[in-house]
Amino acid sequence: MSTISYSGGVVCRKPHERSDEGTLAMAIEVSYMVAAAHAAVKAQVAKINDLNVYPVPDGDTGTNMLLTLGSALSETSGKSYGSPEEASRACARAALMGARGNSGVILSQMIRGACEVLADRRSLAAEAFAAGLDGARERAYASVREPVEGTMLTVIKDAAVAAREAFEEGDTDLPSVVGAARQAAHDSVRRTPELLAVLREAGVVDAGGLGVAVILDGVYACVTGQEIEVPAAGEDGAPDLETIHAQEEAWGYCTEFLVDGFDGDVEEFREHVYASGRSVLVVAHDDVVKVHLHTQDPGGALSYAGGFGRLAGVKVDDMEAQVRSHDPEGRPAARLGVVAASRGEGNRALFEQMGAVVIEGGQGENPSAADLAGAVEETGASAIVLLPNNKNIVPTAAQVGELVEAKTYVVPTTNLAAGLAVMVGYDAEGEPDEVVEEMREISDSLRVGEVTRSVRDARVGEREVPEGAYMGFLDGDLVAVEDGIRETALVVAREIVGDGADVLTLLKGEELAEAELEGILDGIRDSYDLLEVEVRDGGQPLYPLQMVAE
Amino acid sequence: MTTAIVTDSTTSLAPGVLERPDVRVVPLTFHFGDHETYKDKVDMTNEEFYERLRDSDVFPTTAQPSPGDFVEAYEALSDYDDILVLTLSSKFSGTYDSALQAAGMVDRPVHVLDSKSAEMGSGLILLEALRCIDEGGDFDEVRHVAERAIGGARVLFAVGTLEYLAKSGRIGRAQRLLGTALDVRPVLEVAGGEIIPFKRTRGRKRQLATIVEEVRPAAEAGHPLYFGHIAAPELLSELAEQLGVEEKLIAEIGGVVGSHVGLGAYGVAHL
Repeated sequence: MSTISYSGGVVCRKPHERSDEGTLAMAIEVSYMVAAAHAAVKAQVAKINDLNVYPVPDGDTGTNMLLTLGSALSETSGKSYGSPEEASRACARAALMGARGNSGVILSQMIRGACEVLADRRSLAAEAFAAGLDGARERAYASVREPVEGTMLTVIKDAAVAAREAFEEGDTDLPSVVGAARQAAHDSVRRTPELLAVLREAGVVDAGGLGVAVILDGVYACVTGQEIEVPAAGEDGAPDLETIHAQEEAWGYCTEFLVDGFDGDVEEFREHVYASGRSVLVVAHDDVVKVHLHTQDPGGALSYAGGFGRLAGVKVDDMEAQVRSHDPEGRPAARLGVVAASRGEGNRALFEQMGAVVIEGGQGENPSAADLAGAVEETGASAIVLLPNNKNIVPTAAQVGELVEAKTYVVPTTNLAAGLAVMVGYDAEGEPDEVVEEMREISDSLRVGEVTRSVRDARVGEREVPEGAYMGFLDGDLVAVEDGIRETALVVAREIVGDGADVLTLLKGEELAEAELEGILDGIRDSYDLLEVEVRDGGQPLYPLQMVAE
Repeated sequence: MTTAIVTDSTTSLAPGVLERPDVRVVPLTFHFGDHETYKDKVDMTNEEFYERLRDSDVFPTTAQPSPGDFVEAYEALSDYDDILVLTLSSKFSGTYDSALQAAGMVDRPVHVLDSKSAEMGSGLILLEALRCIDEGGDFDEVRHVAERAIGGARVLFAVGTLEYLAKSGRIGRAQRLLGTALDVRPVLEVAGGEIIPFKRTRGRKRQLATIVEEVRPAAEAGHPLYFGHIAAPELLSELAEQLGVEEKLIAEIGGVVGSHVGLGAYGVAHL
């Protein structure tokens, strides 16, 4: 017995000395090919996982294919079978039983299809291999309700076609035919982004497709005994989750049913059903026929099928209604924009990250209504929320509506921390009136505080405020005058949290030292066990600390 | 005419359901890395799973059952005339496809329904179907009851973080809740088979209050509720208390769904 091993690429020793050029004896090579395929996928599993964005970007396509092959491997490895039929059946069954994940299930169907063809061959010659790939292609396509191109289905199809063509053009040598299939598979993998938008947007090739190509690499190594380099699959950057959308065809009614006790001509039935819809799948198994199609007339399809047998498992979904109620696409991008007045690099970055256009301005540097209007136009949206984030900018913001065509809303936030809290309710794609109501609700529920420093001796209400003292404000009212920033901040924090707040957000200003911030945080945490405290480096001038409690 | 029900392990099972001869549960699997595979709710206790989730630096992945697993379940129920299959949402997993494929591999009609939900949601749907069986309903009645429950079931749930859903790729339209500069504790909804954002909230209290406000009408009308959590029993008790529910169904969410929503998630399903 020979062994199969791999390192980096795939290394296989010749399974055995072949007496008949281009032919392997059938009863044992099934297990060799499975082992080689398993080894090849194992070497590439991380790479395949990383590519996975379709149909669910959960990064386990390689693992699922490997586990599926592993199940076939543990069935076939080291076993001897009495006949090709027995070997093929055992292998197909093991793959089916061990199939994991969507890609694994489709792979198991490919193995099943190939095994069904190979079961009645005495040996694996070039023609048998090509026929086996075609069987794999057929089962794979039949196994999914809606075959999607640009996936492992396309790759097995292209490989099968290439193998068949190579054989018909006179390549009767097994390694040449496998080589042609393998090359075609890799070429096909590189083309998958052209066929499937979700791959194109994520900048990756199809993970399952690469898995199929890698399996053929393993088989190639197995039949040639050569070390091969697995070709790079082209661009395979990390998937960009934000660009991933399901790409289902949405047309008519998705209609599924079984016809039990089917009595009639399956081919005639199939032709009729194919002509009456899209994404049609008709699978006959003994006297049960399973049908899937998208059609504008599900009733017509059902009554036609009812003439052939008893209907069961009828399921009809309105695809267009699903799209109407679920799919935000088709609406203009950013129905609702936000313009936020802000100071400090950190705050600018925070607002921009949440989707706002930032205009520099705040305490001591108020933007004009014209400045705000310019920023509104920059958003390109037809409805805009203005966040003044300062008491003195609120009246200016209220003027902007008269200067621009877009509809404007003012949510009268009085500091930057409040503005950020309100942004949590922002949804660029939502119904503007509803989103604004949500943002106003948040704004109304906030308690807003800040700490600043007196620039001269002053009298505020009943209080004397000496120059250089720290002043603490709560919702605009002076609540603390202290020499130290920590004491001031803790008074404001205590007042603002009261006994109701759940989350306290602190924005660190440019004048606040790290060590002072730590001291303040320790003081807050000592007083409140359950309070969630969030700190962001806002970098605003004049206010060493702004805070908001929710 | 007798009807049996096959479901998958992501359906929350009320007390006594697992022991019924007319119910079979097909497990999904979850994996930590490439080498450790566990059957959902079988190979690991929930406590062990929560601990692994807390300590592990790899995110677990999950896999649907093979068609063969369903074939075995169908074959084990040969004493029954009809089989109804209830799977978790086809938008979350290929389990529905496995069940359908398996239906084509046995020589008797098997009716597969997509619950369009999971855990407590599919748990309530299953209970409705079983109640119909126990009341002597025939297959068509059972199926009708299940389909109506699928149309009405809704799950509202809170997560501590969106990180797990984002990593799992099953975040659906809640995608747009990501990318906020402040920590958000969102309330999410399972409806129409997918996860949709219900509300962005900040802080545990607001999160809880949002669920209470939304579910209160159903609770007051006496509709069935099914609570569930992942290592968050206190929050769950508070939720039930605020809803004024005394006798309650509570599920500990298992490894497969837990892998996707993360620790500290809790919620309630209603019909």
